[in-house]
Amino acid sequence: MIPAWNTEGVLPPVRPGVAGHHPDRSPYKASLDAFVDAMGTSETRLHIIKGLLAFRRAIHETGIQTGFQWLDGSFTENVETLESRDPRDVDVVTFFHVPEGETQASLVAKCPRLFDHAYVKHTYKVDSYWDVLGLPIREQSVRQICYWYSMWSHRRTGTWKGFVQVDLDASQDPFATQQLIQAQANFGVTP
Amino acid sequence: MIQRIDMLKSEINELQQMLNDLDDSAVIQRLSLQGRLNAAQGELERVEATPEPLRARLTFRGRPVFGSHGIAADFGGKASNAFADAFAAVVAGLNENLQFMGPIPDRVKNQLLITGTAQGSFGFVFELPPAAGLFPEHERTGDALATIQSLFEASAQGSDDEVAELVEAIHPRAVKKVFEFLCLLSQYHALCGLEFKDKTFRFEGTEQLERSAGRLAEGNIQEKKETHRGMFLGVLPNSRSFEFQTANGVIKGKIGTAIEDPDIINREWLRQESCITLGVIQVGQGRPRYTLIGLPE
Repeated sequence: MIPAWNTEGVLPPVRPGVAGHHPDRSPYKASLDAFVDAMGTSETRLHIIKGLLAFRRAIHETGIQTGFQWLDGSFTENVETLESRDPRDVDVVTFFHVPEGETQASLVAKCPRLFDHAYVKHTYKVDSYWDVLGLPIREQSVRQICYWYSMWSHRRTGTWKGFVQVDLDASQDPFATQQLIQAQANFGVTP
Repeated sequence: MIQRIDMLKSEINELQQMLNDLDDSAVIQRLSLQGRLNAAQGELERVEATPEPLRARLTFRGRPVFGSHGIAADFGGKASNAFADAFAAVVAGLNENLQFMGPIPDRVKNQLLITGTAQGSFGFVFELPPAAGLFPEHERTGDALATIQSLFEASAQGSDDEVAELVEAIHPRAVKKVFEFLCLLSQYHALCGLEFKDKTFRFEGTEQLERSAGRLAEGNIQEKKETHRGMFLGVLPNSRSFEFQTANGVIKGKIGTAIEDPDIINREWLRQESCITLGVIQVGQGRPRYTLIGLPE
């Protein structure tokens, strides 16, 4: 379960009520439909989630099936209260296994737009970044993971915050789509 | 204090390093990091085009402060209010529109904004009001903060002349507000430190703070008007300074803002017998500092 926003308008970095060393802490592992349920609280947010689901569909179509995504940015904050505005997109780092028989280069050749940052942001409302799983751990891998964690776990103001991790498994997406349709209906939005 | 601009530069540097370290085969990771780098560089350009507001950190130590944990609410409220009063008075003093009585001019406009708590002892991060009015050259909010910091430092460690130079630049009422702030700290057995731009000053102990307050007290700062007879030896109109020969010696001083055209003295009163009125400020045993407050009679 994704915890509620705290008084600072962010997901708490450690689940409230548990000890600091407790494993239930950010990144919070959640199902995709739980993410839609927790964060789909406005029409604008639902529009962004629709983009996120389309983005995942495009990922799956390339053959990438395993891995996970870190979901963050103002989308996972109570930005409507903090900054009196709607979120503009959702920040995503996709950690994935390169499918068998493929290389990073062949994936890009197959679907160049999927890895085009500006295109993805414009088309899917996703501020998208990537990292590859299954490679030997080297100094540079640790550096990259540290980078993403450090950037994803703080607001610009320096506030420590939590974020969400969802699995890349495509079997989650129909439930999330169903959740989205239900939420859109609640807002009177035609899917 | 780390500003957003510094964070972005650090992030850009980190991304460039990570890009340099990538293998040629890491095509997707390269595209990803390059996208992130482009976004960070775009953000840096945006931030550089709209400068961040100035911020200062005022931290407290002593009896009302519990390490980095917290601060007694009544002291915190009073101290931040007294500091905000001193700041507004110094801004008005620098703008030369502060009077001895009445409300502090532009008190609301020159409001400090608390934007966070400062830790490592405990205190507040203040954001200074922006200089965005019709006459930004007169909005000296950054100068005011720097002057308060210098006044703390000079009154704690400097000479009487160094204190007098600062006192002369602002108004006695503004000095009094700074004095009141220090008295409040003393009353609560507290100390403070002020970090602004690249400079930090902190009072090292109660004795130093009390000495500082004592030097800014009304009794230690003498202000009076004197009339002198003699003749002007010359005036530097741009630096607004003068030399005036009297029977007892040469008086050197500044020309007050009431005199719009200092060069008129060179044209009309140079080496002519005249009578002038000077404002005199003396701190402790320091030398008197003179300001010509009107044209010769």
